[in-house]
Amino acid sequence: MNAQFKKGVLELCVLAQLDKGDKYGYELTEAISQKMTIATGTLYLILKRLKDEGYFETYLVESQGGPARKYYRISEAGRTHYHELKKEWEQFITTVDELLK
Amino acid sequence: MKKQEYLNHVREMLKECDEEFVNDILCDFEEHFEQGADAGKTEEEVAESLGDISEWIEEMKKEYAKKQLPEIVEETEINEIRKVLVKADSVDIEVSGGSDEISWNLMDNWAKMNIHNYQVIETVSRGRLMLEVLPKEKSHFGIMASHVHFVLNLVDELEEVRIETGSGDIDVEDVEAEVFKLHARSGDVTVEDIEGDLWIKTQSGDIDVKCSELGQLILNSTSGDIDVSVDEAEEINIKSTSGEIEVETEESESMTLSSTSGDIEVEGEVKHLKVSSSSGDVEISCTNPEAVMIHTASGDVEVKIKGCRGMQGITETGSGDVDIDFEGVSYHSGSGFSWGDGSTQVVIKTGSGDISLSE
Repeated sequence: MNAQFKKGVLELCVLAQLDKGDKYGYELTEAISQKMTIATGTLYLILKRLKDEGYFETYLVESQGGPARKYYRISEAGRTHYHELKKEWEQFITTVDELLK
Repeated sequence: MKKQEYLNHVREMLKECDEEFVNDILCDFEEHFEQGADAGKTEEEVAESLGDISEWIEEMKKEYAKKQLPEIVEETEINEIRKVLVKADSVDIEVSGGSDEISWNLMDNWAKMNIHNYQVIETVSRGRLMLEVLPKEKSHFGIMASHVHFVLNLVDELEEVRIETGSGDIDVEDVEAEVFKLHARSGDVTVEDIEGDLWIKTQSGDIDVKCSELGQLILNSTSGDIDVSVDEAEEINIKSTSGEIEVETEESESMTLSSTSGDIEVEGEVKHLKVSSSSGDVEISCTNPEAVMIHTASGDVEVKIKGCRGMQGITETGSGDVDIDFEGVSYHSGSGFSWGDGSTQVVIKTGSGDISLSE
């Protein structure tokens, strides 16, 4: 898979997970890495970039017994971006499906 | 690999990146190790699952190179509108600049009978404002739709102004932006006194441009006529299938014009001029050119060159006449000719038309 394509797919997965609800880093990376084999470290690079684009906000929540956890929350702009990407993805797989038939 | 080892490795890979970015990433990883420990994972297991991120580092290096200030970039990217896109179908669009903020409204010449049938949908995403002018439902006065105007006041110095219409006209005046992209199907496009790059595309609509200073001017029309008057432009590129092209300029670097059946007319100072046409006639009056190249299949070519110390090149026609009216011109083999110091390159080729070259 080419890197650009992979990046787009992972970006979409990250957005989709956060669209379902706020998550902290480990929780989010686990949710994705349970379904696909990836270096979860790359997800933090994606998170950082999407956060700098204004698609996520972060906030801290005290956790029992351990240090506070940084939670990610999707912003309005993030949601719009997610829906745009999702639509592109759906069009893409429809096209590929048609070609495979 | 233990936690510290992994973090050191990442820091080493990111050493060309902005300090703040590196610290953010390392913080995230450190937290991940802690959260992994909470979930009962060893440092080795967490390091292994974080894995090899080297594949991604190259790109990150570009985006987060040293001395970049992510916060400032973030703010301007989110809050500031840099691009404007207007989509409409039958409504005419009028755009002007110089405002302190972007504003718009619908106007109606027919006692506001029609504007209620339209709505403007506004979306902002990634620094781009999109305005869609849509009919609410099928209008009872559908034939009067063309009397509705969408008036847009812009701030100057936007990155991109893009307007798309179907049968509506586009009218842009007195505004500055990096690039204007105007696209009409059957509507006409008129542009006056703007600054920036200008790209226009129409199917049957006419294009009319009057400006003093432009960067790139790229025009494309299927059957509409194109009329351009620009004092200065870096690059002019015009393509038409059957419409006529007429260009007037005081000083332009390079000009490329092509038409299938329309006539082409150029007047002014152009350094590099390239014209091609299938059956249209070509009429050029050019001052101080460095190179003039004209190809037509069957049209006549009339070229006037002023203020040049000499030229050399080729004038070739299949069946027409060639007339070069410069005193002391010498002819060479294979349709070649030269005059004076030979500094300007002139190539004129036509299949069956006549060629006339004079001062």
